[in-house]
Amino acid sequence: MTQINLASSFSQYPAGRFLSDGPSSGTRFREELLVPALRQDGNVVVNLDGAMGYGSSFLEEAFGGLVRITGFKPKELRARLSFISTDEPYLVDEIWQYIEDKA
Amino acid sequence: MKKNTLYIKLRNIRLAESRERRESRFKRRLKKYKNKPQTSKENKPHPIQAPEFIELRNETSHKETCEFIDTIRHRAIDGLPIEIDFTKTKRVYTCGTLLLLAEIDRLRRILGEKLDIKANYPGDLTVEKVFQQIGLLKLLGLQERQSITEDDKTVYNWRAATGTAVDLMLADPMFRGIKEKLPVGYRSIVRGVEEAMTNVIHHAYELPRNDRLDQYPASKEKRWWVFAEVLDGWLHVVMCDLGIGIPRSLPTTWTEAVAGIMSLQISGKRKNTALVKRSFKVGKTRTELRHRGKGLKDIRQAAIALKGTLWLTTNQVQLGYDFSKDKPSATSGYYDESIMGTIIQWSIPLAGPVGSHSKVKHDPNQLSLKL
Repeated sequence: MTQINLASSFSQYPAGRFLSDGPSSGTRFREELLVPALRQDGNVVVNLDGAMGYGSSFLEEAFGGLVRITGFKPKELRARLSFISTDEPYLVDEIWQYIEDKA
Repeated sequence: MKKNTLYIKLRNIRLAESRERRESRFKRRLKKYKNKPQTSKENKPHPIQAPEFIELRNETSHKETCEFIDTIRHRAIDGLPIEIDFTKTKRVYTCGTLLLLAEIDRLRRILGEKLDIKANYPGDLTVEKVFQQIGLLKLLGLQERQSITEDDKTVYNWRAATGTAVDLMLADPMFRGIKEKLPVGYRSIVRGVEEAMTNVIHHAYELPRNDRLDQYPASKEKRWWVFAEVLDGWLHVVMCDLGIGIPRSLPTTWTEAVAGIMSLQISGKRKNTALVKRSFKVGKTRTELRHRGKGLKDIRQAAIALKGTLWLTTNQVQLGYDFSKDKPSATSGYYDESIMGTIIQWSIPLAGPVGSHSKVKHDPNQLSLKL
């Protein structure tokens, strides 16, 4: 199992969608941290606690982009990807909506 | 008949010669004027009187503030020296002050050394301290001469930041300050500001601003400015961009979502107001937009979650949403003058319902540094 602590491994201020938006974009997180972890065997846990806040643009690009851009299937992600979010528990449902395209 | 034709021909020749002589005289005079050294009167700065209230919510003050800023901009673009007289400025409000700071900052960045701008110190001490705190005095070439301490309750908590990326780290001191004041719920504000920043970078500068500065490369910069202020138990966070405004950006980005409004045979005023209102409601309408378009809803959500108010001023349109009372309300307005950009203001009560913690009756829609 791989755990990614988003705030400490990536940024306290994850924000924006594209690489051109800024240094802590959803695309950068997805491509540099999330996809490499998912391409290894085993499960991935993303810890969302500790960051100053998550905008919907970042979340959709980082996690919705796994399906939309990178080609993962929602069913596979359900089996292998999970989240820790004590600070803002509602984020988990929101992320799954982006992944399953219900948002 | 032949005699008349000859007469007409001769008359036309005389008229043409007369016209040529007049044009020649005009050209000589114009050449003489251009070669004449500029008189001292031409070069003398024409003092621009700053309004008594720098604010955007009141109709009169909105007009005066916009005209004041327009005058500064036009003189700067025309290469004329600018001298601003703040003697009569008694009160500054967050939105108007941020707009003024943004415009002057932008002119500095675009025109550089060509910008010849001076000002006197404001007649009001509190106004001077605000200008000092937010960096406006420095932009105007004035020394920062006041000492600002925690005792300056109406000034000390002003914080400003600016940037050209979706990078909230640029405003980190501001957000840390907000986190201290709003331990529960500050993330909603951070999220709202992040979405506002993303909108600025993606949409606000899609087209030229049409302010006669578009030929300068620096005018292409996608810049945002943000303020935070704590006053009378309310936290105010304001974000500004000097882009094309929501009414101009929507038809290019959400074509289908606003097509119905664009096709209506209604006045420009009503159309622009409808477009802005629609922008808060649209999430997705086409397959390829399904994953986009949530930003403005997030912006509103911050005010809803924290039972505050949200004011949006974009070009000539102004919308206000009040979620601080049991029954949310909304207002809209349309001004003759455009701010030529977008300002979003969140106002959040820091403790309890409106007025419950403070002896001062506070109107969240009239935020100011009071005398």
